[in-house]
Amino acid sequence: MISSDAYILGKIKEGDGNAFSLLMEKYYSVLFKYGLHITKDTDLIDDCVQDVFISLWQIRHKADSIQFIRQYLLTALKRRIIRVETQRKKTLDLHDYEFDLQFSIEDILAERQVAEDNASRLRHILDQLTSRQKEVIYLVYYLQLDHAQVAEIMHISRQSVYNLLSETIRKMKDFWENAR
Amino acid sequence: MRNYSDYRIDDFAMDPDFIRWVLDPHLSDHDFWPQWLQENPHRLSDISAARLIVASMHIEEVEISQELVLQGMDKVLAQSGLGPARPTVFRFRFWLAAASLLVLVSSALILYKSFRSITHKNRPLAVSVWAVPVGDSLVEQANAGLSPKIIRLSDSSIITLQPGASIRYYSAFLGGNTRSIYLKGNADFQVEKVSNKPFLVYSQELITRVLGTSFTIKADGTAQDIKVIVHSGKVSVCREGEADSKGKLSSGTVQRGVILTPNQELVYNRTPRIFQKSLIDTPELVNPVAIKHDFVYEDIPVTEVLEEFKSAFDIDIEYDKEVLKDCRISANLSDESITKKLDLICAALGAKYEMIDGAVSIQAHPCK
Repeated sequence: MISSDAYILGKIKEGDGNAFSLLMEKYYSVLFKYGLHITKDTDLIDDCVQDVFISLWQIRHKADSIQFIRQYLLTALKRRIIRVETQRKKTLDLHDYEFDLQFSIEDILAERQVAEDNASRLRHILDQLTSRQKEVIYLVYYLQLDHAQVAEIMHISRQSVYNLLSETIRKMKDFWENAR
Repeated sequence: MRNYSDYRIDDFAMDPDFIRWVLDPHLSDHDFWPQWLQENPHRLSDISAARLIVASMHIEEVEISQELVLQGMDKVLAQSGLGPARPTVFRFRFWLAAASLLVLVSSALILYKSFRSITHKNRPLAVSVWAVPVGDSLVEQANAGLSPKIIRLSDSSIITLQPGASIRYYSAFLGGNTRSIYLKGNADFQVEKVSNKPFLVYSQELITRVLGTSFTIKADGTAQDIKVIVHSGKVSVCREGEADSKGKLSSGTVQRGVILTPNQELVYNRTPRIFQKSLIDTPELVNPVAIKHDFVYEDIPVTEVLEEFKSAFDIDIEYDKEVLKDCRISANLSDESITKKLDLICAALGAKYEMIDGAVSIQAHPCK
């Protein structure tokens, strides 16, 4: 089955600027939002998002070899942002960043009629998540990427993705079992 | 789909296909998972526990403005030697044709082209009225206070000016072919019907045309967006230069304005000049007479309930009558907002609904 992204990438390979615009329209804000979790410097994000697309166009002759374009773009953006931010330190460490994430759990708490002391326990669980755990949650639940792609983007093994995720899930499971 | 028989709660909660079913179901998920549950009824409690975990992974995410995206795209295109970005709709259409990805934007982008070339010599301009000194022929009413100010016009129409808002109009307000008001800031309008004299509100570069109705315009001079919200009646909105002398939408090959009915709101983004029409967050009951069941239903056909919603809230609800013909519902929905009512009905039907271009579109499966 030809996926829509594959179709667009094929067109981009042929040098179709229209297809390129389509791709940007589809992913520009996805990338920008992701960038906001890594840095608060919106000018930097904007520049990096643009650079990611500019270099994609430069290598368009092999665009069709990109299997998962969303993962490709997210990975490229993150590397660029970290590269710029660590330039001052002269070392490139792809794990040297904090992933910031806010949860909005009020609706589900209200819907399930969770008592206030339980609700604050859930907020506490979420606050206690590490930067890596938050990023996994963002990629798996918000962007709904599969674990292999998450591993690529986070530059960690699939086992690490699984471990980061399962710890959070276990806490959530315990919480909901006791909150009922 | 994989073999889920030995999955535990945690495994479900981490499984991409399961996650998609909970958070962003494809139509096929509505077939697969209910069927899987029918074959594995003892797993129901595990499935609900896993659903709850996934549903509570709710992330607060900012929205990125269309303007920022378009500006960024322009820069990329310029640097790549491809020229500036083309108006959104053309890409959007191509998108539909190319990939049939309908859900690119949740509300349809309607109006699109820029019409800089059109001159409007014979009509007063919204901008120019504010450049002319107020005198005998031109009246200004402003609200410098902190609470809303009510103004009654000579045609008995009532304008509620919000703090900081002002209007100007010619003292021969009722003498011309139209009743024209120039607005800065936010105001509510209750317009009296005067036959053959449409009521026009010029706000920034927008013209809102009404016959007799009530609506709200939010047009701060500095704000990027202009908002028009309709409470009753019907209004049309277009950009200056796209209407004829009576404020009617000019006819042409391209639809140039937007018609709004109650409970719809229009957001006009000044750059890149795009109209976005949507349902207001909490549609109001506009036609109480249409309610037969007081929103308490006992074994009533769903189609009847939906038809009641349509007329009571004056919103468009699209669904396949044939598909829903055997679906009946018993529920007490009297305390819920209209969106919550739809949520609950769709949940009961295992259906999905989307807000598209100010209308509600329900995708459902037949009931047995």
